Amino acid sequence: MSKIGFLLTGGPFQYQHWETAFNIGEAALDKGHEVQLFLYLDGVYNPIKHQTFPDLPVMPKDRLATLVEKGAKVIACGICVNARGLEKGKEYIEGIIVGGLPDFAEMVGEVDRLVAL
Amino acid sequence: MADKRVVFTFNRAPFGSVYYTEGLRAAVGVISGIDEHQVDLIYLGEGVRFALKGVDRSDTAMYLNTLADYGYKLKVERESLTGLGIPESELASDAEVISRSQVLELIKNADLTIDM
Repeated sequence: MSKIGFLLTGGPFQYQHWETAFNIGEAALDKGHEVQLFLYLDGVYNPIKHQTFPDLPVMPKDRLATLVEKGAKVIACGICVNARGLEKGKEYIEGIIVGGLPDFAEMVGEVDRLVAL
Repeated sequence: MADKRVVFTFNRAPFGSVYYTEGLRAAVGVISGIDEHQVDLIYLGEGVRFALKGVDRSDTAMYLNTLADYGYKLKVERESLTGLGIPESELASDAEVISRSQVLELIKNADLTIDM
């Protein structure tokens, strides 16, 4: 079993970085690998629980919830969260940790591969 | 847990997005953890413009000072400079010019690469 990490800087609804990360992450989890995601910059918008958009069948936050359910560890950069008025992630879905760059440093130490998107 | 060698590549110009400064913040974060990770900061393509003399570094000074304290320099790819018509004399004093083959070697020897 390998450990794969993602540094996700892309937010939802404008670019597909989140979808690529979540697709690869879910595939890795389904094959029994360990997955960690660090949400950085606009990546911290992905777990907001009030997302709605008629053109998307599944919201980014729902994909993220699936990853969490399957065992992914998801950490959001706290400085990025508060910079965007997200107030320590109080409107986040369950299971998202609001942390900081020391968590990213720890993730760097733990993973076998890191994908930056 | 293990100490890792991490290459950060900066590919975007120092304007138009926050990657040039937030990438440096992330690099500082990586070297500041419990593990003693090592980083390389490599400027490629339009990213080399950050290493020029006279660039406003007010929003990156804190990170650059920390990285300098650890002995890190800004590594700038020679071929990117040539491609943009920028002479090496235009670079700031904390920049170090390296060749594309040296960039490839650094990436090859790194545990992880992060594009910013």
